[in-house]
Amino acid sequence: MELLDRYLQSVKWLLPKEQKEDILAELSEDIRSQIEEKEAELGRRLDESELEAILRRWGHPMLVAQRYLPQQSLIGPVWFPVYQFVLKMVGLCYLVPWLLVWLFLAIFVPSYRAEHTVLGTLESFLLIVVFAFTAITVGFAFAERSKILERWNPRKLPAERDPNRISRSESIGELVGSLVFALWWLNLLRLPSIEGIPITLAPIWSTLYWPILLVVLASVPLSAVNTVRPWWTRLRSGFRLAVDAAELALICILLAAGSWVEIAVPNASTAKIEQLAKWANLSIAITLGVIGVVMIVGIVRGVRRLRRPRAMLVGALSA
Amino acid sequence: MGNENGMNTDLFESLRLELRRGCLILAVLAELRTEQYGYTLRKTLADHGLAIEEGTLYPLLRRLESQGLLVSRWQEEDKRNKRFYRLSPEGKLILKQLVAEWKRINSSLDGIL
Repeated sequence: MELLDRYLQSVKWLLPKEQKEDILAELSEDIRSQIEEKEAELGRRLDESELEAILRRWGHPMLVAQRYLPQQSLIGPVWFPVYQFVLKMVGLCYLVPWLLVWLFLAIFVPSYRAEHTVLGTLESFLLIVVFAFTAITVGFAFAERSKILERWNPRKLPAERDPNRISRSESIGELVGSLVFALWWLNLLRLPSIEGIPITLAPIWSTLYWPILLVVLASVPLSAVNTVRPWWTRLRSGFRLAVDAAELALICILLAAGSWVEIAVPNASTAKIEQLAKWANLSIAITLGVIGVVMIVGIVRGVRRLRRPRAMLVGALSA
Repeated sequence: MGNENGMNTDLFESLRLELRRGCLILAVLAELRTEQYGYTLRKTLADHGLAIEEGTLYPLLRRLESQGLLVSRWQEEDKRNKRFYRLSPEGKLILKQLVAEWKRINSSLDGIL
């Protein structure tokens, strides 16, 4: 009966404290009754494998004990889908872009490569993942225990979502941003600069002068039309996709250059100037990397928009 | 095809369990109008075509007892201590209501099916 005693001991360990002995006595009694019945049927004592078969039928000690415990979960079935969605979103919108920016920097920026080891970067990434996962899980565990779902108002539910709707504020922001950049690029607008630090642009910018201007100017009419008619049509979706793809191509070419500005500070040591140039280039690399990731997201969204059935666009237009 | 059959079997099994869950409570309460211990109760239910796993029956008995529908006591029988269960006065009242509800559901379902 050593096997039976081991089984009961494993079940006991997980049972609720105050009922441990009582439950165990009852379970033990039932199993012994089953053994006796089987022995009477066979006319002999059960061997180890037959006893094992009886215990297997009872189930794993954890499963047996769990049925006596109150149902508890860190995040229950009501919150779990939202929790899963938030985890996915953080992964897709933060962790994946983080990795992409790091990859861009590691591939295209030699100074970044020289100063950061792969192991060190992965360690930082792992810390971010663990922190994000812990913070989200703890947040949802609190939500699970709060009475937040009891205090709700139908009027505060989010507005009906239309995937073809374009945010007017986004279009206006894009329009203003593109115009300001184009004017600055054409040297018609002077932006405030740091006094006494002359920054010279690397040759790659003059090589890409016209393509950059063309891509920026192309998005001006699109943003203007989107502001007045804030819904996607196939034509405008296709145009947006083409502009995003062109911008992504330019970002890749720029990143491949590896250095974008040179700095000359009078009366400063070479080491200081190099340090300054390194930080300026790193900032530009990060900015370009982030823009690149935004472009990739835009392209994915654009492709998905174009693959949507035509009827959905027509429906949106007639609404 | 094989997969589809497997899925149908799984689905049927889960729906069957769902259907049985409430019925088992009723059956257990009804059987415990006479005092019994777990092992004999399980045998009686199985003899009536309502086999129930040990892992389901004992926690259910505990739950019904904590809800005040059953009372239990330890008693020696055949030189072994056994826990005997029977309906409490409140359990008898609830069983009566449940049986009436069961009959009502049954006749409604008969009409539908």
